[in-house]
Amino acid sequence: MSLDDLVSGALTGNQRSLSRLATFVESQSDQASAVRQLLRGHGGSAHVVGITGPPGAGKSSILAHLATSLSDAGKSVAVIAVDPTSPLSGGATLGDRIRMSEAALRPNVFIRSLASRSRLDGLAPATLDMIRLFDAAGYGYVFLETVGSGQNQVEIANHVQSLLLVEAPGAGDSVQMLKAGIMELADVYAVNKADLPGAQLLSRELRSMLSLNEQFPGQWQPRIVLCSNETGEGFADLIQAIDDHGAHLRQSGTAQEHRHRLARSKTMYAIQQLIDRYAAVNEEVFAAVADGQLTPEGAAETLLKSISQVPRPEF
Amino acid sequence: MTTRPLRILIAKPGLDGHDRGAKVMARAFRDAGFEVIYTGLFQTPEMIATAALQEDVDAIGLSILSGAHMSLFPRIMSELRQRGLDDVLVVAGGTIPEPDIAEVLAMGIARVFGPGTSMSTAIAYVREHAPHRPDHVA
Repeated sequence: MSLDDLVSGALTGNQRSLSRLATFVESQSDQASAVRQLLRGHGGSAHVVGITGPPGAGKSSILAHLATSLSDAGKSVAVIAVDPTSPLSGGATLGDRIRMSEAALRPNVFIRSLASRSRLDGLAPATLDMIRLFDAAGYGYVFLETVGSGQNQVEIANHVQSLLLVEAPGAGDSVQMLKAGIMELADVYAVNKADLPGAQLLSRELRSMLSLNEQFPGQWQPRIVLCSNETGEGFADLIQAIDDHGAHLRQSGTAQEHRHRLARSKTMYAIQQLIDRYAAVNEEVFAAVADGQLTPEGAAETLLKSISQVPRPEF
Repeated sequence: MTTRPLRILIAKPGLDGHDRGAKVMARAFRDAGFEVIYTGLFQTPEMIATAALQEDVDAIGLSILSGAHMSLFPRIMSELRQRGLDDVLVVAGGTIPEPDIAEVLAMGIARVFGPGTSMSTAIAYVREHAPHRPDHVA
């Protein structure tokens, strides 16, 4: 089957075609660029929502609830779930589906697991292309679930329109709330495992942290939602908060600002890819640094100078 | 053309709570450089086929110790075929009695790995027999 056939299949709701295309996109090969070209002009209407937080906070379980509820309401949902690649073997255990296998049976839900491969920021190399693919395929919501992440894996904020941070009680005191990083960036905070002791306290601490934010007129007020997979509470509020943020983006004109941020992030990542591919075939530069013939800064300049003179198809 | 890791789905069909073997195999494939999608316990044939479809796996490893393989395997194979997943390599492991093996193979399952199979045997088999796809050069 040609790429054109796969693209037209994916655009008309064929899951098999979509899934095959996702593999092409993930391979980051020449076919991936071809797919990118074929998808141009499609999509642009998905609400792209990031979901991040520490391992075991309940990101996948929350997503299972959100996907099920949204699907019941007639919305289509794609989930891109990233789990870590082994730095030793290059393999990965992708286990996010475990919580979502019921939800995945619905015809308007598609769940795809991604290994983080070479990236260390909680995302995967093909993250942006994968979002673009599901957006083009017409999914109303595209959720991006990061690797279980700590404090400074903030790159996700540049990839999504709305960011949901999931926290659960029992992980540190209020000083954690003062720390810089992902805590500052979320649009919606889910305090999960609300049935456990400490959830109310965590929610109060979050509220008090957010109350110290500088206020601008027309600014989005981050929401805090208590939820629990045990009792099922909070998920409707969570969807409402996400939708409200989406509406806020559209009304406030911040959507434009977001597109700019995304464009910058995409371009910077493409530059990085180009450098990585070129560096991989110019190992002698690193050897020269190791031998003391070049400084790291000198090597960087040499590499970048020569990269601009190489015709693209060579690497 | 870049190479990519092979993707394998490790699945536990039916009412079978014993997943030690499945977890050991998931770990072994991970350590051999595979991307392993683990479904967890109590999966219906439909869930397994849906996961294989959405994850676009090269291979599926079915782990079963409940004795229900003769009723579950044909349903899994039929769900896979319905979704057009004819080229996916399917192997099985667990406790499948010798007299059942010929029939299991006739269902389209490529190989049955019984108790005592070394992990490297199973890994080498999957690596060798996974379908050659246009996007994969190993």
